[in-house]
Amino acid sequence: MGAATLAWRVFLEPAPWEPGWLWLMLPIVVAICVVFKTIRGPSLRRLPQAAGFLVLQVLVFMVLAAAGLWLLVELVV
Amino acid sequence: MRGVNATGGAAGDPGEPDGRGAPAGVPARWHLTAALGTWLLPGLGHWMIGERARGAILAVTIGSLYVLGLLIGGIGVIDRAAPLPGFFGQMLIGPTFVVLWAQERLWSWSAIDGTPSLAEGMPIGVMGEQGVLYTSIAGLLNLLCIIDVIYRVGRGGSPGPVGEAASASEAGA
Repeated sequence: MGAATLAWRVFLEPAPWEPGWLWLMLPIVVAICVVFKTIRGPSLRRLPQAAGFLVLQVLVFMVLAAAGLWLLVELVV
Repeated sequence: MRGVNATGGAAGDPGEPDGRGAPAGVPARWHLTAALGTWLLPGLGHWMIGERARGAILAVTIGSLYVLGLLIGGIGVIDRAAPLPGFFGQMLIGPTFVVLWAQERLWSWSAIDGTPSLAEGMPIGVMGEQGVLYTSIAGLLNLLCIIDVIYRVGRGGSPGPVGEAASASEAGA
């Protein structure tokens, strides 16, 4: 890890971002929402609002799902 | 163009154009060349049929996701020998085959000059998984764009060969 951090060769070796890997879900969520709204949306005028709202919805439900699963593990297991 | 999509209810109205197909009752055109263009470069197909803003947004979004995947995991995340789901998603974007070509050149060079890290192949660990995830999702999103562009009526689209499936899909929607 240390060597990789010191000598990371872009595009040739994996990025040394393991500690914050969970944050990497954000670009995926944003990209999925933007593409979905670009394709399905009737107009591009309200694309930022529509995509932003969808991103928010997805993140809220992911957090709720995570909290629910955490509770399940805490109470049942 | 009035923008009501196929599930928006207006698709069935006679003579009412929607964002995805021809007016009801009018045979739609299959944009097969545009679909090929989308595979070659995300957003290119939409650009070809006149939906330039839509094409630009798709190109930037999907392209960024794909490049970010290569940045996160390295070009080794494109691996023909990997389990099928990962490469299936990746090959839905044409540039994957350019990356494969570049990869093979790099691997052969590193085998010659003895640089081991270039010859290791697919990266392992969380970053490798994230790279595969990013590039595969970019490919699957591109598949959505390919399907969308086939049935979409663009601003610059002229009447062309008739495709029955477009009308059938609208009728079923």
